[in-house]
Amino acid sequence: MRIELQRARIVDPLHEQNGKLASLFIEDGKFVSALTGAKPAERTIDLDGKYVLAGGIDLHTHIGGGKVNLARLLMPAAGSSQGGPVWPTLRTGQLYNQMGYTACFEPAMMLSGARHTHLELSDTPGLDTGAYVVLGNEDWLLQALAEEAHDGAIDAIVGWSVTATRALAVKVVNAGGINAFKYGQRSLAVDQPHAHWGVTPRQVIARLSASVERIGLEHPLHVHASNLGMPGNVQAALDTLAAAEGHRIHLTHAQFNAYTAEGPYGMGSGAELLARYVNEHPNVSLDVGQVVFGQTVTISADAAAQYRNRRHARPNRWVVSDVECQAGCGVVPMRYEDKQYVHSLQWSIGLELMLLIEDPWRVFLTTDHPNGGPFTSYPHLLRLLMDRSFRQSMLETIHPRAAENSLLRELTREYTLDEVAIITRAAPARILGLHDRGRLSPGAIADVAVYPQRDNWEATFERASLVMKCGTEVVQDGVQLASMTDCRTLFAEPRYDNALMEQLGESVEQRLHVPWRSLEISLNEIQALMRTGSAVSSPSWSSGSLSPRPSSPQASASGQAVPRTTEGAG
Amino acid sequence: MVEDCRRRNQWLAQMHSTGSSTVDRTMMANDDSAERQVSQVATITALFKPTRRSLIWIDGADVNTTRSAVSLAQAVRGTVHIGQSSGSAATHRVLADQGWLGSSLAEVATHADLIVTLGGLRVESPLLAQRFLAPALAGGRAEWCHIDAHRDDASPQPSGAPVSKLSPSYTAVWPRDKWYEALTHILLALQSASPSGKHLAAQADASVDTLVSKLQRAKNAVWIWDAEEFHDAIDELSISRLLSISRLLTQSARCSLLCLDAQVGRVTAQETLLWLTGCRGTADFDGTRWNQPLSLRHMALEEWQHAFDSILVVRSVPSVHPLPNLNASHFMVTAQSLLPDGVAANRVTRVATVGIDCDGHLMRGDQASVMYCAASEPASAQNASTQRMPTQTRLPTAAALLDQLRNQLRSGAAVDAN
Repeated sequence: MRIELQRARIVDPLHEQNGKLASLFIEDGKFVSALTGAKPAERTIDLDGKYVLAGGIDLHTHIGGGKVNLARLLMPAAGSSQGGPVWPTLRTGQLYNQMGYTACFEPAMMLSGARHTHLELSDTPGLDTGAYVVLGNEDWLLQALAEEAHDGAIDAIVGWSVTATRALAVKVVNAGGINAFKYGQRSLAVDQPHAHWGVTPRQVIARLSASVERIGLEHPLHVHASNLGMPGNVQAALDTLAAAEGHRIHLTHAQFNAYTAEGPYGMGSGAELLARYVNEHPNVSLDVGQVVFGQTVTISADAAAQYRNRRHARPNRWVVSDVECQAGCGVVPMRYEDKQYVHSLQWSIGLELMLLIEDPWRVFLTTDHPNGGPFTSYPHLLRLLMDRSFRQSMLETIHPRAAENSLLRELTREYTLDEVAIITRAAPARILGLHDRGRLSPGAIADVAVYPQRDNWEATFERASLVMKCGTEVVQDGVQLASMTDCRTLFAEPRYDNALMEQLGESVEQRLHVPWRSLEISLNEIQALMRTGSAVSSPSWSSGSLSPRPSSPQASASGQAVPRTTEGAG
Repeated sequence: MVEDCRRRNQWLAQMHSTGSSTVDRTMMANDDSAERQVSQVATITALFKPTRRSLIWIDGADVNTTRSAVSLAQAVRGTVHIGQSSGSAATHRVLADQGWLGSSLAEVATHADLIVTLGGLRVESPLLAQRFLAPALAGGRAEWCHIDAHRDDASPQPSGAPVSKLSPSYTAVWPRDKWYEALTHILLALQSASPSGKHLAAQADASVDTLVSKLQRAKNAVWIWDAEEFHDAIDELSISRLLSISRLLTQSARCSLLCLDAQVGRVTAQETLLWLTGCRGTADFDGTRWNQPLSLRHMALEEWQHAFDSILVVRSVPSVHPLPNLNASHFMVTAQSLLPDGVAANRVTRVATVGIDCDGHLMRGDQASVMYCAASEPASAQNASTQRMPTQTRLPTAAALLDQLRNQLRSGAAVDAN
C-alpha cells in the first residue's frame, strides 16, 4: 500500500526538503520518492505541519539479559507493570514507542548469556533490537594477548564471539579489570599490568580496537573505560581513548568517566578536558550517560566498579556476581538527589559534555538506561539541551557547590531541532552501520515519529502523536495500537579465519567446560525459536496476538567480502 | 556415587513405570490422534471460561512454553504460577531482600582455590565433581571441603557402587539443626577484633576452627549447595549467614555463593515470567496489568485448589520430580511424567518433551546460561536411509497447544460478541 504523509514538517538534515512542509511517501514499509510510480496514494494522513522525524534509535540501553532480570528481582516494585525503571519487556517496548523510538541496542551481552539477551529482546515489542558482545576480561582472550598472539588469532576470537552471539558490535568493559578483581586487584589503571596475565588495559584496547576494524564491524569498539566512578578518572578515559592509537573508538556513558580529583569534596568536572579531546580527535565518539534525579537501579558488567558502589546502595541491597568468567555482573540500586554534591556534579557533567562537543555526529544522548536514570527522561533532557533558560532554572535547584562550579552557567548553546534529529536518529544509525534508517529519504525503512508543537520541547517529545514502524502505525495520538509489525534482530557478520577458531575453541572450552560450539546461535535458532515464540501482547493492546513474528529470513551473507549488518530474524 | 543419586533413581523408576526409557513416540502420537487432540483442546478450553478463576501452574517449562502460558493467562485474565520448592523460594527471598555475591560453575572450575559444598550435593549432583570440581582440584590449585549432616560411613553404600576418586579433602559433620549455629560461629570468628566473636567461636568445635582457618587463607572461596538443601525459616537464616560470610571475606579476598537448582525448567520459567510480567513466581493479570498477588504468597499446596476454579498443570521438560498433587483440572505434561494417583486419562494431554521430541531453550540451574536443547533424533532416523518422522505423527508441543487454546478462546469470544 502506498501511504502519503501530507503537510509534514520535515526534520531530517539529510533530507533535501529539510525544514519544509512536504509530503512523504511510503510503500512496502519504506520511504519512496514522490515520483516513484504513477499510482496515487491509497491512504493519506494529514499531519497538519507537525514535526516528522525518523524513528528514534537508542544505541546504549540495558533492556535485556540476565542482569536486567536480576534488577527486576532486586527491585520488585520497580519491576512491576506500573513502576520503573526496569519494566517488563512489553512495557519497555511500549514506552519507547510512545516516545517515537523504534530501535534499541543492549550494550552488554555475554557470550554465555547471549541467548537470554536475545530472547528478552525478542519479547520487547515495537523495536528492532541488537546487542553488543562484551569482551576484554575472558581468560582465553587475556591469555592470547599475554602470549602476544598474532592479529589473525585475535580477530578469530573477536569475530567468532560476534558471530556466535549474533552481536552487532563489540563492547569492552573495564578492560582486564573485572578479571583482575578475581585476583585481588580492586582497580586497574590503564597502564597497570594484570596481576596474573600481565596484560594492561591499554594493550587490550589497542588490540581490540584494531581488530574490530580489521574484521569489518561498522561500529567502533564500544568502551566502558577503567576506574568508572572514581575521582580523577577522566585521565583513565583520556588514556583509554589514546590507547586506540587512532583507530575508531566509542567511549560509552562518558559522564561516569569524566571526573577530576579537584574541587569540593575532592571531585570536579573533567568535561572540558574530555570534550576538548573529542573535538580534536575525529576517530572518537561518545555517548553521555546522563544522570537524572530520582530512584533508579544501576546495572553493569563491571563487577569491580559495582562492588565499589555497594556502599551507595539505596535501598541497601546489592548483587555482584561472576558470569562464567566473562566480565561480571553488578546490580546496585541508586537514588540520585539534587541536593547531593556528587549527584549534582554528575548531572552537570553530562550536560556539559553534550554542549561542549561540537560535532553532533559524534555525541549521543543516553542515560545508560537505567544507570543514570530511565530512558523515559529523554524528553526532559532534550529540553535541557534546547532551552537555555530552562537549563539555568534547573541549575539553581542543584547542590550550590556543584552549581557554582558548573560550566553550564557560561554555556549558551541550545541544540537545534536538526541537531536533535542527528543525535537521536541519524548519527546513531550511521555509527552503528544501519544504513537503512535514521532518515526520511527514499530507500530508508519507514520508521516515523510525528510530534505536535507543544508549549515546550519536553512536552513535544514526551509523547509522539503518531509512530510508524516500517510504515505500520504502532502509536496514534499517543496511544499504542493493536497493530503490530515485524521487528528485526540486527547483527553483524564479520570476516575472520574460522579455521583459527577451531584451535582457539579448546581454550574457551577449557574454561567454560561446555562444548564451545554449543555457544553458537544459528540463524535457524534465532528465526525459529527466539522471535517466533508466542510472545504476549502488551496489556494495553487489547486484541490479538501481537507477537513480533518475522517475515521470511534473509539469506546469510557469508562469503561476502565486506561484512554487513544483516536483518537476522527477518 | 552415581547409584546414590536420588534423582537418578527416581528417573529410572519413572522409566520403568512408563515401560521403557525410550518411549515409542510414534505410537503415542498415533494414539493421541488428531481427533483426540481436538477433543482435549475443547475440554481444556472449558476450563478457561471468563467466569472462572483460572490458574496455569507451570511445573517446569522451556521459554516458549512459558511465553505461551503467559499469553493464555493474559487472554483469560488468569494467573500463572511457577511451582517451586521452599528451598529455592528461600534463596530467592534472601537475594531479593539483601542481595547476593554470586559465582558460576566456570569460575569454580577455573578460579576457585577453596570449594565448600554443603549437604546432599555430593550425592544428588554426582557429575558436578567430575565436570567442575575436578579441573579445580587438578594440580592442587583448589581444596575441596564438605559440610554434611551425617558421616559417609553411617549411610548405607549400595552394592557395586564405584568408589569415586574425587572426594573432599576435609569433611565437617554437623547435625542439620546445628548448621545455622555453626555458620554463625564461622562468621563471628571471621570478624576481626570482635570479643563476642572470639568468645562464641571458642564454644564451637574444632571443625569450625578448621574451616575458618581455610577460609581466611583462601583467595577465591566458593560455597555451593543444592536449592533443595534449605527448607524452613531457620534455613533462610543460614543462607543469610552464608551471604554475610561471603561479603565479609570479599572485603579482602573473594568469596562467593553458588546455589544450583536441579529441577529442569523451573529457573527457565521463573526467569521468563519475570521478564514478561515483572513478577516473581506468581503473576496475575487483572485485565489491565500484571500483578504479583500477595494473597497467594506462602500458600500451602492444598490451598491452591481452593483458591481457583480450574487449574492446568503444565510441564514441557524432562523431570524426575513428581507432579504436584493439586487435584488439578487438567495436566498438560510430557510423556514420562508420572501422574498423581487417580487421575483419569481424559484429564491428561501428553506433550512433547524439550530436548527429546522438540527444540527449546532451557536455563541452566546456576542461571549462568540458556541452553539450546535440540530434539534428539528419533531412533528410526539414526539410520541414514530413514527419513525423520513427519511432524504430524509426533506429540504436539505444549507451546503450540497453549497457543491453540488461546486462539480458540479468542474465536469463541468473537462468536459470543457477534
